[in-house]
Amino acid sequence: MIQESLLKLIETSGFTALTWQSGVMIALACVLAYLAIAKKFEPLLLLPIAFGMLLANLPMADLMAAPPDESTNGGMLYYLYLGVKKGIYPSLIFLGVGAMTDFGPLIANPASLLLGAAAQLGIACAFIVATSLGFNAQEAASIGIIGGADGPTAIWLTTALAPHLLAPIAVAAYSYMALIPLIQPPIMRLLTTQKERSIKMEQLRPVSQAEKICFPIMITVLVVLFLPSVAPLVGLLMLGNLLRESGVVDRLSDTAQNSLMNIVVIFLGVTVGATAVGATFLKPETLGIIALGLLAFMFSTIGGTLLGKLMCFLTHGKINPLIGSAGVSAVPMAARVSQIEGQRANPGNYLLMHAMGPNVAGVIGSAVAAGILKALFG
Amino acid sequence: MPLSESLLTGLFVVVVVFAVLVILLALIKVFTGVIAVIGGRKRDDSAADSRGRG
Repeated sequence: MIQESLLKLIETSGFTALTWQSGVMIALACVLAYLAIAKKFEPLLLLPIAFGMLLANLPMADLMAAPPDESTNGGMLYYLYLGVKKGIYPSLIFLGVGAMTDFGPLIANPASLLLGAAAQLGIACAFIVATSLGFNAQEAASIGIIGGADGPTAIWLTTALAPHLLAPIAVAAYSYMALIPLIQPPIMRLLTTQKERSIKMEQLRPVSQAEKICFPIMITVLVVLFLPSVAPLVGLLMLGNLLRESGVVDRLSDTAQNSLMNIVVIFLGVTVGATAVGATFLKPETLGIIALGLLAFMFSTIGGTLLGKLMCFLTHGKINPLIGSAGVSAVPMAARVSQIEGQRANPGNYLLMHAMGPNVAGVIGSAVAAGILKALFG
Repeated sequence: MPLSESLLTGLFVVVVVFAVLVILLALIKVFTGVIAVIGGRKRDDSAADSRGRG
């Protein structure tokens, strides 16, 4: 009797269902958790992603299992994942990002929008290379958007176009965003001269509250009229910013940028991580996606920096080309990299606020690029 | 997807992103100009008031 019970217990335990794939994925989840905790690589998202990956690869737990019929419940993460599947979490994260972002530097220097556009070059390059490697158009578009350096946008587009690639694309996007301080500086130094990097930029003009209040409304109307498909992202980004700038709903602004954002980050991270199941993740194409993601990031940095150089030339040295690389979204990490590189060339250089213009323009630019790709291939 | 088609698509995406953001740039310029004019008028009015009050 006891022997039978023990055998039954062993048979129903997860140990008997462990495969080499689940073992590799559990190890990978532990590596990601280590990178998040010990190396502080985008820990806010990488840690939930790592734990979601761990949970989904423990056999028999079936946390991501769809309900077999109407009377039976599915796995807990399956229901939370609906927020990703329906594109709700990325938009809610944009609400928080909008509430945290000051668009003042962009309003003060609207030419930053051009740098935000140029830094989307990596999207096109990765798309072209991905299609030539045999990915179909939907998959290539989802891989390309990694070059936008915007996690929520990448998740939003991939969920719509190639949901089976969500896990590798999300992991690649967030890993490279964490590695921006390592990826960008060598490219920036290679493409600029010491003299260009030393350029001090004039202080930005002050921006009135009226401008800051009208800006999100105007951008919403225009961008959504141009690209209706991108309304969930741009609409909520600008709503968050309006909550912040209006000055009359501090509680809502605070909730959007703190409590709500944190809750959504947990749900998004855990469920995106849970899509990385060994059988679908451990494929040669995952390595291809990770390599293409790096290519996309590099070309986006090149695009932004080269346009920065051109603007430097056209303005007779009034623009430091280092702010161009901040056109890849990754707010505010990419702007910080511009600041650090500028100060390395000239200790009296303060580029942070100048780089914030292209940085927030990059958020709009990558959302626009995602909208175009969704309109083309959705 | 043939290479020529993917090249065209990539180029199309870049061009449209630029076009949308250039239009936004132009409109922001107009909009900030209008706000500056309105703000300037207000400042002029208040300056006139203060002069009037002597």
